[in-house]
Amino acid sequence: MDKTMLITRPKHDNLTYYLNVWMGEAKTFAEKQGINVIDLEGENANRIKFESYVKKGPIIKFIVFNGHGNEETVTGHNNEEIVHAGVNENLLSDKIIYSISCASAKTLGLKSVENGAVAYIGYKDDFYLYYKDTETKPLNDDLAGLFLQHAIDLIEYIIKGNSTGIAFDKAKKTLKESILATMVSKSFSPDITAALWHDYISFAIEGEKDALL
Amino acid sequence: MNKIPKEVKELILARIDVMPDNIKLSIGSYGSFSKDQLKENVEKETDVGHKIVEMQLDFLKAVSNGELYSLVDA
Repeated sequence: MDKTMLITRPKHDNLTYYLNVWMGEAKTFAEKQGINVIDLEGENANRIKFESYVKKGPIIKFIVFNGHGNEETVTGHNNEEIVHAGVNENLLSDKIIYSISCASAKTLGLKSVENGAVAYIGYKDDFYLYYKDTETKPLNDDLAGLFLQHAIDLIEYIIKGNSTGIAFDKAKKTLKESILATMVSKSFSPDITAALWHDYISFAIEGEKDALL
Repeated sequence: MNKIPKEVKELILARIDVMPDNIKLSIGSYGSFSKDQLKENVEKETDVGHKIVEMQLDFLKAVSNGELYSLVDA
């Protein structure tokens, strides 16, 4: 049976634009691996479309949220709420979730797992990203890559058949290697290492660590 | 929010000062900030300013207690 992944990719500000482009690489990888990808891109990253696909579309096993959020919510286009703890996290039941949004692993992640989500991977605090203001092509921005490569790696590891726990550990190792790279290089100022450390310690997984896609 | 001690503020501003001029920091839904904007937020002790200080202090603590360097051995 074909596996289906849903990904939200708003692009209404600098951060979401960067996530949109970088996670586009993960989307392309998934498609090449034969995964059926529902891509809620730009304005389509909204609650109505999300709920419609989850409730009426093919069975979705893996969801990747890109965007903003807080402890209780993940958002889409123009920061509209897509999932809110206590409101509709039940829609995440039986799914593996990866949320590249601020702090949602802290409360929404826990509530989702309590309500049947297989696993929820995300961050327990604000997500920090340094990027080159002068770079017109986000994929060429090696500074942003230090902060985002682990996210692509996580998605790829899960798609390749690694368990949620193994994928999480491997992705965290990528982030660790970014930190170490900035510590030994004169090209990066210390505040970049500080921001990477922040993301590293807030990166978290809730739920099953031996789940497979 | 507690006032940022003067010596802490000076330390953080000095650390921000070595940041290149052509990069920005995105902090969640707070937005993206240039070097000068980061310094301004720290000076004015805004929400963003406090977040920046907290991030830097957490990092410095990790350096001083060895937690950061444990990454090398792990």
